[in-house]
Amino acid sequence: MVLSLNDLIAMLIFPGFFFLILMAFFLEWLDRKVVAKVQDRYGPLMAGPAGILQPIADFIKLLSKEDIVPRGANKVLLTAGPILMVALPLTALLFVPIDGQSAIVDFEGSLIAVLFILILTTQLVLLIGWASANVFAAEGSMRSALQMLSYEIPLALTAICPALMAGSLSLSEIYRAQAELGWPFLAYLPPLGAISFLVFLTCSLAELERVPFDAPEAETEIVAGWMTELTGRRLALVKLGRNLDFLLMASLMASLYLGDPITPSLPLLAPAAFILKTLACAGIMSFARGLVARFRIDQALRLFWTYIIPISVGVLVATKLALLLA
Amino acid sequence: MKQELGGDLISYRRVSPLRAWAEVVLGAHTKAVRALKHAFPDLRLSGLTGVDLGDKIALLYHLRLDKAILTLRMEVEKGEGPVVVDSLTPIIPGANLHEREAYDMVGVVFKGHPNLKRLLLPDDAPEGFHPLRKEVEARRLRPVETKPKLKPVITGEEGPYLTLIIGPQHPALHEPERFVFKVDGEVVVDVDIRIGYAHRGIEEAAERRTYIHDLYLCERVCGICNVAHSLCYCLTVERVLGLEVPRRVQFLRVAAAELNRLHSHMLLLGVAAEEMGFSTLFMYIWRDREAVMDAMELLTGNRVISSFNRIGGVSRDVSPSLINKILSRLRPLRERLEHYLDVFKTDPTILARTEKVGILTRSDAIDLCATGPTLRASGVDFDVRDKDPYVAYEELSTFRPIVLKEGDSWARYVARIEECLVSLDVIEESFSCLPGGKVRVRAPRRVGPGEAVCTVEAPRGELLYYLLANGTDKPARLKIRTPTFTNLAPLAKMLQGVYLADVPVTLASIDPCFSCTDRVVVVDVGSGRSWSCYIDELPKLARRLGRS
Repeated sequence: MVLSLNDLIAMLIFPGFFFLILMAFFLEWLDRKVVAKVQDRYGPLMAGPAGILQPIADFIKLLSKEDIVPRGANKVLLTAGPILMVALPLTALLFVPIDGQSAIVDFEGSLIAVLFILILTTQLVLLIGWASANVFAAEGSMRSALQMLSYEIPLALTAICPALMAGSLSLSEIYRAQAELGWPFLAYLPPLGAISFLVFLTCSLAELERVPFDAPEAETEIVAGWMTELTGRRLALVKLGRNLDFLLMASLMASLYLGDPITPSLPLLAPAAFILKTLACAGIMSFARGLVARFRIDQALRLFWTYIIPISVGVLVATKLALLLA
Repeated sequence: MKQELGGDLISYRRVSPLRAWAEVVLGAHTKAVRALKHAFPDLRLSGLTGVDLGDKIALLYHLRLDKAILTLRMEVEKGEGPVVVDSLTPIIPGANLHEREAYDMVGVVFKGHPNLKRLLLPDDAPEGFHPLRKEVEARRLRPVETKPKLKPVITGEEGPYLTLIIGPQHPALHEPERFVFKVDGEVVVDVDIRIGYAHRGIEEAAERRTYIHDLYLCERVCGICNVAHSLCYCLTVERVLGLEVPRRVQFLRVAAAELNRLHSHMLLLGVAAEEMGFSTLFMYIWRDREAVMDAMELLTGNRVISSFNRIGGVSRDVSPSLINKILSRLRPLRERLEHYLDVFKTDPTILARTEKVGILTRSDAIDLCATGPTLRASGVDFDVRDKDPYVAYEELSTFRPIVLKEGDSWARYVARIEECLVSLDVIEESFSCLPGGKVRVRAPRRVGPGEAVCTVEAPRGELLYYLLANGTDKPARLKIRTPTFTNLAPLAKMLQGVYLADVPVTLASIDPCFSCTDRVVVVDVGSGRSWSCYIDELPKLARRLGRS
């Protein structure tokens, strides 16, 4: 394979790493602003217009902080973990059609690859928590693993629904299929598309460990959970990784459910439309954070196993049947 | 009532309808308390004061019998060796912490106590060092160097259970305190609570200051419930002096105390929401709480430490226009509080986190001497304002105690919201029927000789002050028993059997205020060195610590 200059630009600048990282910071700012608005606060104000540079300022500040590795912790794992934490979602984002047309790396099965990377990220959480040699970190990563056992199944099952509708496992193909069909999968085969979207949204909240599923990093219970022993650069990288995860989930939602017939054919509008859709999905997830209290880990598990998993199985079967009949 | 069993009774006097003093011979206190417990099943130990009289130590058990307080007094010779008396814990399990404090401070050994260890002083304080003994001199004390004991980070299993230490520093704790949990998976089996990290020796400091200075000292026992502390102190001193305060003062004091309760309860409810991971509710409640802070500032001139109560009156008067301002600032609050009541009663996530969490049964609440909303949420109808009224509460028709039956964290939170609504009514009523007159009378500088026990219903429960005055301008002994102190034993009970994730919610439900509870030891946890000193030496010590 020969890399052309265009490929290099696409990889490194737009819609590649540079753009993705900027987007991740922007999403953090958006998240903080939306939650602040819900809570009748201002949110970030000082760095840049309306505080838009605050996440970057925080990142730089953390980079300059003292680096502490606790006695008894596994230094190799504690260093590799945060790096992988950034690398994994960045890799996954290359499979997502950020420019609204086609992903940088596109192949049949990229959806499966992304789902696989999501599981790997949670494994990393487990690894960092265990390597920290701290009770709170161990407790946090245990909770994270427990939670993973419950949300991964419905997440994968519901992600298959749009794939079935499109008849492809490639994310770009799924997005394009919606353009050809003329309907976003959110509104396809009503109400199956919508239910599948809601289940996917709930699982994303759990995947991202956001309220109400933030038991793995519940500050008032277990300090910072699995992140307790991370400082300085490590913490900065992990935080960036979390933002990239957030971007990944929001853009997955946009590509799986929110395709439209008009924009993908227009070269300039296509990226703008896709990014707007991603921001809308992120906005919904931020809004949810302001509305509810945290579930205890056992309550979250019960919710998933008694409601979400049966619903997701049902939706999958119903989608297949509806497609066969159509 | 107790003559029938007290052949050992030395004296008995009833100074007012609700206050009685009895003196018994050494060792007869267990018999007396057992007889009283039989006659008053709801008997609770409100406080235990140890007074060093030179060659003797007097122990005063302040017992709450339904409405009245009976103070049982007993004297013990000091002599050589430790002073030993029988423990009350077999009769009243809640006496546990009271006796540990008395052991720590005046060095009385309680025979039959299950766990007689240091409570406020560090564990490595010198043997036989009890700071409220008169023979202890501040200038003799030297910093003690102790070797820091480093334990492995993840503590191994002790028996079948895992030990998890929370504190002294932890995000769920707003004050330094240490909890050692024995956990079985996610469930707490047992808990050991260690307080004393913020102990400042206020009781000793109070003996070195004049009555006027002590007012400011007492007000700073707790920043949140400062009005309750200053009020209780003033009432105690006024009672020894036999001072009649003007009627207008009584009503103004009610208003200030209730504003204080409003602000304290709302603060707690916000914290509770935060502990549950519900940060929006936290922000909203604290935003609305600003109205109370503003009203407090309008009434007293200060937002937090109000400096409103004085011995013999209050610091300033209010005009009708000021009253209007205060009431209009508070007006939107009722609707907001009713909304929060609705939220706590209906929101599924809040219900999932608080209902049936940290249950305290009625009998446990009585045995372990719970107090305040914690006691009332377990179905015991006891509110000092109702049963043992002080200032103008007797004359206010809108006041009613809030009693709930459930005994779980949810009931404790809901009880507080409902109390807030009652407080709003009481504030309005006390302003509407404010009598004319002066707001202060002159009080003499020398007090006594005499003694008095006073209680007020602080936001967190019954607050007790005991004053022994000897006719000089300084108290001979001032005992402060804060509500959280007596709520700790019930807390330990509540925490048994809860999920680890529910610990913060349960902990917040008693509205703990450890700084109140601790009141001359500075422990530098970081370097593992501990220092013992008196409050006068603190600035010097602080400078030295700052350098090291």
